[in-house]
Amino acid sequence: MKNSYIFKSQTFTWILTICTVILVRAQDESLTISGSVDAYYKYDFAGYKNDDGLGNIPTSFANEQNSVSLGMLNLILGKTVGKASFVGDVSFGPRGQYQSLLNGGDGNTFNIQNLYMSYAFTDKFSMTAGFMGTFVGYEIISPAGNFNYSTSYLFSAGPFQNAGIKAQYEFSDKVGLMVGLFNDWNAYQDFDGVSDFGAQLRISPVDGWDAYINFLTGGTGAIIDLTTAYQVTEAINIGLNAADFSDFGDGDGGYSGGALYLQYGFSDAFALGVRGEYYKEKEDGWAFVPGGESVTGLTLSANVKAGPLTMIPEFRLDNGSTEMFYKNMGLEPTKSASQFSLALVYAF
Amino acid sequence: MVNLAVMFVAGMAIGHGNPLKDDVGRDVGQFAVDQRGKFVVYQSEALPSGVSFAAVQEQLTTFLNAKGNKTEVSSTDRLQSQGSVPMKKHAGIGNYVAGRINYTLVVENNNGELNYWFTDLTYQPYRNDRYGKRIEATASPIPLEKQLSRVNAQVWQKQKKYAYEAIEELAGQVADQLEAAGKPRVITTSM
Repeated sequence: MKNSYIFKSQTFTWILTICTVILVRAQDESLTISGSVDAYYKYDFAGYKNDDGLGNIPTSFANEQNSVSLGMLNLILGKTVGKASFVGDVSFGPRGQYQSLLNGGDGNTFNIQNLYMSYAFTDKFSMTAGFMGTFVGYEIISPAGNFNYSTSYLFSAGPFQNAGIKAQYEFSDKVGLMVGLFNDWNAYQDFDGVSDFGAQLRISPVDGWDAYINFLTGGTGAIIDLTTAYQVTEAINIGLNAADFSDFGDGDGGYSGGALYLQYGFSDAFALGVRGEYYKEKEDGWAFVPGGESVTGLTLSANVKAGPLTMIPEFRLDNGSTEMFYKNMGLEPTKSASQFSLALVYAF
Repeated sequence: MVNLAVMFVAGMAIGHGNPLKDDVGRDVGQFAVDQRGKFVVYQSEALPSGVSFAAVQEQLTTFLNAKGNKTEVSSTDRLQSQGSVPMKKHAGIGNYVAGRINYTLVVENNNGELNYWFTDLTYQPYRNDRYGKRIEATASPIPLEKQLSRVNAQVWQKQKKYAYEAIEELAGQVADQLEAAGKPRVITTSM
C-alpha cells in the first residue's frame, strides 16, 4: 500500500515536472502579434474611371479613382517553440481579399496571406508546409513591406501565393537553396494535383546585398525571376527585379520586364524613392497590355514616418507603346496615364 | 544582494572631462552616460567572500555563451561579452514590428568589488517579411544615443525606455549568476 502511494506520488511528481518543463518551454517564445493597417486616396489625372470605379493604371491595389479607399487590416500571428514554428497571417479588406486572391465559394470568404508550419531540423535545414506568400518577385502584398504604395506590373502579373511544401538549406551565410512542390498559383486547393515545382537560390555576396534567383514551373506556366536588393549605405538602397514568364497555353502568352528601385533616406522621418519599370507582354498577351505591347512606368514616392505611421505621397506616370489608356471619360485613347495617390500605412 | 544602478557620470567625469558636454538637450531616460557619451547600465557589488573572480568568469561565460554571446576573458580581472536581448515591448517606428538590443557587457574585479556594465547599446529593428515572419531589417542597428528627428522623438524615447527594461532584466539575471558563482551546483534527483 505504502509502495503504491510512493509510486503514485513519484508518478505525480514526474507528470508535474514534465508539465512544468513543457509550460516553461512553451513560454520560451510567446505568441507574437503584428501586422499593418492601410488606406489611400488616389486621383487619376485624366479623370477616367471604369464601371468598377478604377482609374487608368491597372496594377494591383491603389486603383480606385477619386476615392478614400481601404487597403487592408493585416493580422499576423506567429510562434516558435523549440524547432517548430507557425505563422497565421490573415487580412480583411480589398487589398487582402478580392483584389489579391481567388474568392471563396461565397465570393469573398478566404483572406489568408500565410498559413504554414515549419520545422528546423538543424540550424541549416528546415521544412515548411502550408500556404505561403510567393517567393517570386520584389514587391509583396503587405504595404508595410514596399516602399512605393502602388505596385509594379511585374508584381501584379506574377503569383501572389504558393501553397505547398518546401525544403530550405543554408549552405552558409552567403548561399541558401529552397526547393518545393506547390499547388498552382494562388490556389488553396489544386484540382490538378500538386502541379508546380519551384526553387530559389539565394546569394548574399556582401553584407546588405541579397540576390534571389527564382524559378517556378507548373500548371500556369514557367517563370524565372531575379530579385535583388543592396543597402549601399545607411541612406541608400538599390533594388532590381527582372522576370520572364511563359504561359503554358496553346499560344505565345506571358510577359517579361524589369524594374529598378532607388531609395534615399534623408532622415529617420523622410525618404524618397523612385521606381522605373519596363514591362512587355508576349504576342498573345497575359494581363495588362495588348499582346506584343509594352509599358514603361515611373513612380516617385516619399515615405514620411511619424512613429509607426508612414504617409506615402506618390506620383506615377505610365507610358505605353500604343494607346492603352483613356484621356477622359469619353474613352478617347492615349498612350500615357498619370496619377497621384496619398496612402497611410500603420505597422504594429 | 540589492543591486542599484549607479549614476557614475560624475566619478568618471573627474578623470575624463565633462561627459555631458556633448549631451546637452539629449534625453538619456533611465540610462547613465559614460565618459565617451555612451549610454550604460551600471551595477556594482562586492565579490562574495570565498569566491574567486575566476569562478565568476567561469559562471558568467557558461551563462552568456548559452545565450549565443561571444565572451572574452581578457585578463584575470576582466570579462567582456557581446550579445543581444529581445525587446518584449516595441514602441513602433516606421514599419518595424519588433527588435532586439545589442550590448557589450563588461565585468571587472576591482579588489573584491565587482563592477559590471552594459554599453555599446544599439537597437536592431525587425520587420515582417513576405512570409509574415519577423526578420532582421536591413537597416543598421541604431545607437540608443542617437537623437531622432522631432517627429519621432517621443516614440524613440519610449523605445529607449523599453530597451532599458530589457537590459535591466538581463542585469538581474547576471546578478543571479554572480550570486551562484562558486557555489556547488545542486541537482535534484529522484533518490
